[in-house]
Amino acid sequence: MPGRGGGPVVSLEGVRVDYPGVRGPVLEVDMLRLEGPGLVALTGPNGGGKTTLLRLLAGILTVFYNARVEGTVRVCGVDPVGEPGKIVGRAALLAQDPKTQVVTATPLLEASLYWVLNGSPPDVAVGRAWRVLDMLGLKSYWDRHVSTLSSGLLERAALAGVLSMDPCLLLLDEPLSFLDQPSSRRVLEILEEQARERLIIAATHDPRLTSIADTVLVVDKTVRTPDRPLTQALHSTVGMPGATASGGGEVLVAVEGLSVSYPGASRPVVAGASLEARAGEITVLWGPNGSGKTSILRALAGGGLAVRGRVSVKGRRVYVPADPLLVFSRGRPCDEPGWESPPAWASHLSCKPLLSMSGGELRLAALALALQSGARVVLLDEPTTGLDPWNKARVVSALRDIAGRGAAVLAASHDPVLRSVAGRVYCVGDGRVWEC
Amino acid sequence: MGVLDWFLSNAEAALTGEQGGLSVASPEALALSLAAYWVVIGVAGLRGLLLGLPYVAALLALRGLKGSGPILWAVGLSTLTVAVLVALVNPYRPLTGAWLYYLGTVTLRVFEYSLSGLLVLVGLGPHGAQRITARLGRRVHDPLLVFYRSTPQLLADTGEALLAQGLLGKGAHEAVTGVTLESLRRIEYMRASFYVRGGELPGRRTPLPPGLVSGGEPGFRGAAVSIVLVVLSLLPLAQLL
Repeated sequence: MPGRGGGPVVSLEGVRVDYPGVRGPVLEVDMLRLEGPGLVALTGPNGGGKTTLLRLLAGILTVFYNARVEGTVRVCGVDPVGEPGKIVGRAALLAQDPKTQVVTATPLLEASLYWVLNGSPPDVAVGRAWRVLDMLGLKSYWDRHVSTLSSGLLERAALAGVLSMDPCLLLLDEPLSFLDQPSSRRVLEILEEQARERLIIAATHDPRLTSIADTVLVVDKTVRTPDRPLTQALHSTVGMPGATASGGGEVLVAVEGLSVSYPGASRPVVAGASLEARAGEITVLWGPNGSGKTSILRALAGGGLAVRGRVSVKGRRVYVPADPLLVFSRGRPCDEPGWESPPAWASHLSCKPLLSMSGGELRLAALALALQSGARVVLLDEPTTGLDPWNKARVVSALRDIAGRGAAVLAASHDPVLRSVAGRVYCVGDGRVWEC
Repeated sequence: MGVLDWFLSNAEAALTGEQGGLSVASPEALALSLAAYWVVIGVAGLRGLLLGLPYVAALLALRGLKGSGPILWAVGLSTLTVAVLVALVNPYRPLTGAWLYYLGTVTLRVFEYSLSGLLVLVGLGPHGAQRITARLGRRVHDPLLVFYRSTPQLLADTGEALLAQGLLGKGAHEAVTGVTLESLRRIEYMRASFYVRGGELPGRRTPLPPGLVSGGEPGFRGAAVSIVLVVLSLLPLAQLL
C-alpha cells in the first residue's frame, strides 16, 4: 500500500471541488503530494476548505455532500472519488466534535465497530479493540457509557474507533478544540507516537499541534505553504488587545454560595461558589473539562438543576451555549428574529444556511446573534472554540467593545488567549471556585 | 483465556452494576448484538421487515436470559416499528446488515429528539421529561438502558436551547427547532463516522426538511414526521402499560 511501501500516500492534481448551490469552487488544488509517515497540519481561515479537503480524502465528499469533484485524487493507492467504497479502511476520519464521532454506546464497542462491520469474528474484533484501548489508557473505561465520559475521555474513545482500523491515513478535524490542557497534552503525545507509523493530516488552529507537525499547509480555497504572517498569527494573538480593566464597573453578576447538583450525583459539581462580573470587564471561568464551568453559566442564565445559593443578575442576559446551533430557530441567520445589524466579521454569513457552515462559522454566527441583542450580561460557553486566529481576534475585540459600552462578559473557557485578555479570572476545579 | 471468556467471567458483576453501571456492554448483550449483526449481514439484500427480525430475536433471547417480562417486548416492537418506518422512507437501497446498526443509532436519536420536542410542546419541560424517562428507564432491561442512558445529552440540549432562546425572547417551539438543527448536524457527522468504518450507506444524503435549510418557517415538518414516528412506535408500549 502506498505510504508504507513507498510513493505518496496522498496525491492531488488539478482538483476542483464545487458544492451544489454555492457559487464558485470551494477548493482548488493544482498539485499536492504527501508522503508518510508523519504529521501534516492544515491551517487557514474558517470556511477556507480544511474540512472539505479532509472529507475529500476520506471518500465521503461525493457520497454524502453531493459535491462535484474534478481532477485526479489518489489516497493510499485508490481513488476516493471514483471508488469511494475502496477507501474505507484505508483512510479514517475523526470529526471535530467527539459527540458526533462516537456512534456506539461504549469505548469497547466503538473500538471494535470497524472489525465487526467488516466480518471479523467477535473475539478478533474485541481483541483488536482491546489493544487500542490499552494504548490510549481506556482499559478501565471499556464498559462506561459514552454519555458518562468527560470530553477528554470521549475524544480518546473516538480516537480508538479510528486507530483500531490501523489506517494508512489518519484524518483529524481540529482534534484539540474541545479539550482542556491536560487532555490536549495526552492527545498530542498519542499523535506524536502515531505519526511515526502512518501519515496523519490534522486540520487545526492550535499552535501546539502545528509546532509538532512535520509539515504545515494553509488551506484557503487552495492549498499552499504558510507565509510569515500566518506563522506569527498561529503563535500570537494577531494584535490582540491587552486585558480589560479590572474592578472599575458596576457589579452586574453577583454569586454567593452557589451549589449546583445533578440528579443521582453523589456530590455537587460546584459547591459554595462565589464570584462576580462587572460592567466593562471580561471575566473568564477557567478550568478543565467537567469542572463545572458550564453549570455556573447555566445557573446564571436562569437554568440548571438543583441550584442553591444567591445569584443576582442585573439587566438583560444573553447566553450562547457550547453547541452554537442551539441559539437558532431558523435555517439561516438572516431569517432569525434579532438579526438586524450583524458585526462586519459575521455579515458574510447572514444568508448562508446554518447546516452548510463550518464549526467556526457557526460559532461566529451564534456570537453575532447574541451580541446584537443589546444584553448587559453576556454569558458565553467556550466562545473561541474552532475559530481561526483572525476571527478569534475579531471576536475578542468585539467582546471588549461591548464590555466598553457597559456590558459584563462572562465566558467559560480553556483558551489561554481569552484568559490573557480577561480583567478577572476565576479558576474552577474540584467543586470549588477561586479568583486566580 | 479469551476475551469473550473474560467477559462471561465478569457477567455477574456487570449485570448487577458493580462495574459502574454497565449497560449494553454486558457479556450476553454484546454477544447477542454481534450475533445479530452476523445474521443480518448474512441476509444482506433483504429489506423491510427482515431488518428488524434479528433485533427481535436478540431481544427474545435476552428475555429468556433475564425474564424481564413484557416491557422488553414493548420496547422491541417500538424499535422495530420505528426501524421499519425509517427504512421505508429512507433513500438508501439496498439495506444491508450495517443498516441495522445505523438505524438503531439514528432511530435512537430521532426518538430522543422527537420525544423531547413532544414533551416541550405539551409544556412539560426538561425537568418533567427527565422524571418520565428515569421512570421508564428503571423499568427497561439492562441492555436497553442505552435508550435511557443517551437521553441526558438530549435533555441537556433541550435545556440549553430553552435557556438560550428564552433569553433571546423566543419560545419553546423555537427551541425545538434549535434542538432539531443540532440533531441533524450530529446525525450527519454520525453517518459519516459510520460510513468511514465500513458501514454501508450508498447513495445520496438524506433530504433535510426544507424549512431547516432554506429559511422561512422553522422545521416543523421535520419535527412533525419525527413525532409521528415516535407516537406510532409507542403504541405497543401504551397497550401493555
